[in-house]
Amino acid sequence: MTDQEFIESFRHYQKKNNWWCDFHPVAKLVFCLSFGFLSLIVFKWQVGLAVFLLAGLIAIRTPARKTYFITLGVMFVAGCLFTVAVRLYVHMGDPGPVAFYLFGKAVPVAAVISCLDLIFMIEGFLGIFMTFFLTTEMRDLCCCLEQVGMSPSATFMILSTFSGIASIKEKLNCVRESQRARGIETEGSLVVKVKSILPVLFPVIISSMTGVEDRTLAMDARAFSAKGKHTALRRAAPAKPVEKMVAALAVILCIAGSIAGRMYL
Amino acid sequence: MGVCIEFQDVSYAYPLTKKAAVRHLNCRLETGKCYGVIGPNAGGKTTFCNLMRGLCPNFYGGILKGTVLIHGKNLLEWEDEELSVQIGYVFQDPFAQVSGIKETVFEEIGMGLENLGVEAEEMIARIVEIAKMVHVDTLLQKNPLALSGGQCQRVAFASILALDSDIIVIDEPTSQLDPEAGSDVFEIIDMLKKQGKTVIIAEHKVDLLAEYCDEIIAIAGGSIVAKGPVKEVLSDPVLPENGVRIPQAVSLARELWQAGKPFREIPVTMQEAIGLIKERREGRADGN
Repeated sequence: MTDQEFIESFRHYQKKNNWWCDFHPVAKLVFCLSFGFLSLIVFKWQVGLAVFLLAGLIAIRTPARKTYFITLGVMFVAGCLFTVAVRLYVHMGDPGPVAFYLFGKAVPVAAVISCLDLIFMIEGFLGIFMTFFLTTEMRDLCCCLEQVGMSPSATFMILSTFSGIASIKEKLNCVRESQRARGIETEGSLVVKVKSILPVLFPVIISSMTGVEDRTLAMDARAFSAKGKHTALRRAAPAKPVEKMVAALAVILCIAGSIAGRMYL
Repeated sequence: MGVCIEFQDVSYAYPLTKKAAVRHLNCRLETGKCYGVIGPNAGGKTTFCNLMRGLCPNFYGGILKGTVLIHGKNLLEWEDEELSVQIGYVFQDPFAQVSGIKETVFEEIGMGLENLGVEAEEMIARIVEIAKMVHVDTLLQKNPLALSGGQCQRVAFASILALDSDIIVIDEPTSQLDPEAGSDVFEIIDMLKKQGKTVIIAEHKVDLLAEYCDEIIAIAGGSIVAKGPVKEVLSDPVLPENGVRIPQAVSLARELWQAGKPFREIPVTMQEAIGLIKERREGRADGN
């Protein structure tokens, strides 16, 4: 993008030319929260799977599809499989209809279904939230939240929390690089990595906190405390009626689905 | 010229300290002039700047005695948000001035304008104008956190200039910059002077101050040891006596004076010194 095109982009609403990325951030958040909580509240594999498939269908039509499936895959292997293994081990030998035998012990059908409930609850819940976080810029969400009445101080807190995490990560990398330059081992097994990070973790977090005073002064110099209306350079398009409708429908579905799921599943 | 800032017997001590950081400050700063504040480390320069901006005592706390008048109104009567618009403040550390929440330099410069409720179209025009002025127009799409020290300092300047304050206080802007970036900063200061802004700059680089400032305020041990026109103050023997750095041109003149070959006047800038040396050489040539 040329500088002129970049400057021009601030004269219009921000667009990414993808239906889901351009979906109004607040409506999108409501939609994802509704389905995420539906999966969590009902806690049945059928609902979890439906939410997971819905999230997958949405993700596949966005530019973030690759990151989505890789991350979800990693989370599946790291989180779900471990939890399932523990669950199966605990329920092995329990009374009831047998699904299969593992290491010579009976694994009941109830234990398998319980595992499926857990897997799909996690995958559905995380999946739908990932479709939100991978396709929504926090600054756009905050801009929209300000438009619906949230105070600029609150949105600043949200944004600086996110940027603070990134800054801590950067500082950690920087410290690890300096450690490496001094001959301290920082690469290798997980234990080596953890051993190299742990001693510097707390000093880095504390040093980030001491930067708060500088940040406060810098914000004060930019008239952050000025009374009256704040405006925004980056503008997000107001929610279209159809986006509002989708968000409202998701809320209704969440409530109705939760009641029906708890009653009939 | 009217007086924009006045110190009337001002003393200030930071919280939990027994010794005052500055004592019995008395001075008047006139509108449209460029003031250089010099002095040794921990001499009180930053406190002097903080007092003008109201950070002492409003932000840091502590005990303030005497009166600081900003445009004739007592500092303690000013609202914080009013002061932040009246007086622009550029801090020492360029990286500490980045908001951290804006992803491009363009948005970073516009942040103050957003806080003041300026409409988008006007904001865009102002940002583009300021960016050109401080030569950051090629950095507009860059992340402010990924800039070099010099670039970051220029962006910090741009962010404050966008607010269009009449008084700009700058605390050691070149302390973390290379000589080239330092000269860039002084070019901006020169531009501000031409726009009729009142500029107060605390700085160790006395040679640059001698070139750009109208008046010098020398602070040492928390007190003002000299104040007045550049030439008068920088050639005052009271400066070295109080550990205040003097320009190289003045040092040269002093050495020559001690060697019994004084200049006809004390130069404060390199240009003046070169002029006097040429004059002397030509004089000798004529004599021969």
